[in-house]
Amino acid sequence: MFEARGLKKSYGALAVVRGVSLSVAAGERHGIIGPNGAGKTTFFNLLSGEAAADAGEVCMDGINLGKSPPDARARAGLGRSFQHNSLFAGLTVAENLAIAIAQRKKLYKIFWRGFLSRTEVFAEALDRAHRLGLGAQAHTRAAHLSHGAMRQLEIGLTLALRPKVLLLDEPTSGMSPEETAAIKNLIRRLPEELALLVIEHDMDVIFDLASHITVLDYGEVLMRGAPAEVRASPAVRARYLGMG
Amino acid sequence: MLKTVTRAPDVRDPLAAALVAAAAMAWLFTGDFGKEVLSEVAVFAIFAMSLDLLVGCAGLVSLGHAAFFALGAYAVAAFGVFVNLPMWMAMPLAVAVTAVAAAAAGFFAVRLGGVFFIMMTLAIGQMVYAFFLNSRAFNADDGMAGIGRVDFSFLALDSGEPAVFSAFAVCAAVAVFLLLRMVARSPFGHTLAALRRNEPRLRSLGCPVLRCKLAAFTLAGALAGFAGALAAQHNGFISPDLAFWTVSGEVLVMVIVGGMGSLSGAALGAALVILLRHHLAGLTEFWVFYLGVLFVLMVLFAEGGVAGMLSRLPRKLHRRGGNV
Ligand SMILES: Nc1ncnc2c1ncn2[C@@H]1O[C@H](COP(=O)(O)OP(=O)(O)OP(=O)(O)O)[C@@H](O)[C@H]1O
Ligand SMILES: [Mg+2]
Repeated sequence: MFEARGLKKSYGALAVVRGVSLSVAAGERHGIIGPNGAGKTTFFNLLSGEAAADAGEVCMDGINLGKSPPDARARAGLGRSFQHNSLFAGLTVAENLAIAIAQRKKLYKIFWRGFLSRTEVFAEALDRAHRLGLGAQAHTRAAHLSHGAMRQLEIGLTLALRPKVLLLDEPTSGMSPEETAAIKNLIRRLPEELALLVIEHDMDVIFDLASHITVLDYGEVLMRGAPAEVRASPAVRARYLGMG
Repeated sequence: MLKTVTRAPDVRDPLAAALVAAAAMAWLFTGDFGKEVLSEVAVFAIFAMSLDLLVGCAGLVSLGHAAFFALGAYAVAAFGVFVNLPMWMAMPLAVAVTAVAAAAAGFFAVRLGGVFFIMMTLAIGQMVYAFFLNSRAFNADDGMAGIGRVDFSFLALDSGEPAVFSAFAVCAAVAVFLLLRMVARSPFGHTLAALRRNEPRLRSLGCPVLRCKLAAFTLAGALAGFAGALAAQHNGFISPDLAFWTVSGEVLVMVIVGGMGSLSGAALGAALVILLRHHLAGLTEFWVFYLGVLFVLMVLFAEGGVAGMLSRLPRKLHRRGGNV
């Protein structure tokens, strides 16, 4: 379904990702953990095309994505959310979602009819806002949302693409326990066949959701396995869980 | 349900209506000189609105937009004088030539972000300027005279008359306004606005941002070419100065003073700058200085230019009314 082989990336003398391979099957829920600065976000950037890999390749459905830019990867079904919110701050929640939906529907090709008369787009946007738990704020500008609501919208924008492969970068960071629970629910209700890769610092979230876990450390795979194995591993406990 | 999603209609359309009314008044009540100024305003309104699609809508600040204005003027002169085509044919051909040139220049420019895009457009503009400055065929820095105007004799009208040509130019400006408003309101236009707000995010949502920017650059260039084709007919004369970077700067000032992101604001900016030029140029040699002062004041104190100020006016009046 989705596969990365031998990805490498250096910034100057700093080797941030040092040969990481990973494959995710359809329907798999794959967690990525690792200490700060382990190269998790950079690894996502290599997968989504936001950064160019020095070596290695990314394949989707057996097709090598090569050097294709992020927009081409998104159109191929690869969706990602950002660790640091990246929203259309001046637009409302519904407008943010409408823009994302319009991209999925390739409406950017239409330059003659009005956008606001596209009732189906705005109906879907409102529906998505409700399902994200942002129904009451649908007409609030993204810039005026609480941090938790911004995180929800951040994920909601990516979901509006209906991706086949979904990369979530710390979806619950900075959220209250209630908001975290809502995001967990949202992730559980994702389409069955979707392949999910999620970076997360909240161990409860990751051990709960993931069927497989990869531990990154200094840009390399420290270990990979089922949640129970990872939790039990002395190496991981020493290095990361801080329970050595 | 839809009503709740769309924002309240903004007051910029009343501005457009007011501008058309003002143009009609000017046409009815001024003499030949006034009508010459009216033609000039209409031509620069088209030029400024085309730039607003780039700057105000897509957030692409071009400092070389005059290149396409000049290309349109030179192309219409070439088709009209060298090939001897009637202006009705020379004009669309000139627009087509400019569109192709804008697409070619845009191919390189839209790949660059921020200040590099500005520098690239500046370089493109100066290249076009240098080309015409050195081209023997177009009399180099002497420029070229003897460019005719569109023929309205089938309506028993003489386009040499300021009344006829200014009416034609104003109609052309209204047509370009309607065209660009349609584009700005379309899904493509909203995508350009999202691109201005957050290009990386839009790209990660699957929008082919380079293609969208290129389409905007090409359309804006073609319409600037149309403005140039009208300017060549209006003046009957062209010179390399049309492409000089100060012309690009001046049209950018029009857009910013009028209000970025508002088409009628851009048209208003064109009218303000040109009227100021005609009035101040008579009074003082330093009119550019005063224009500069106005520009700085607008940037500092009037977000959204004159159009932005006007759009906040009803709310202010309302508030004041409520207090009394
Ligand atoms: N564009 C860049 N230029 C230079 N260095 C970078 C760049 N991006 C990341 N780095 C460096 O690479 C290292 C890994 O960063 P990365 O963001 O991938 O870590 P992470 O695992 O996501 O960390 P966190 O858990 O804090 O999000 C860090 O030391 C960071 O400073
Ligand atoms: Mg990170």
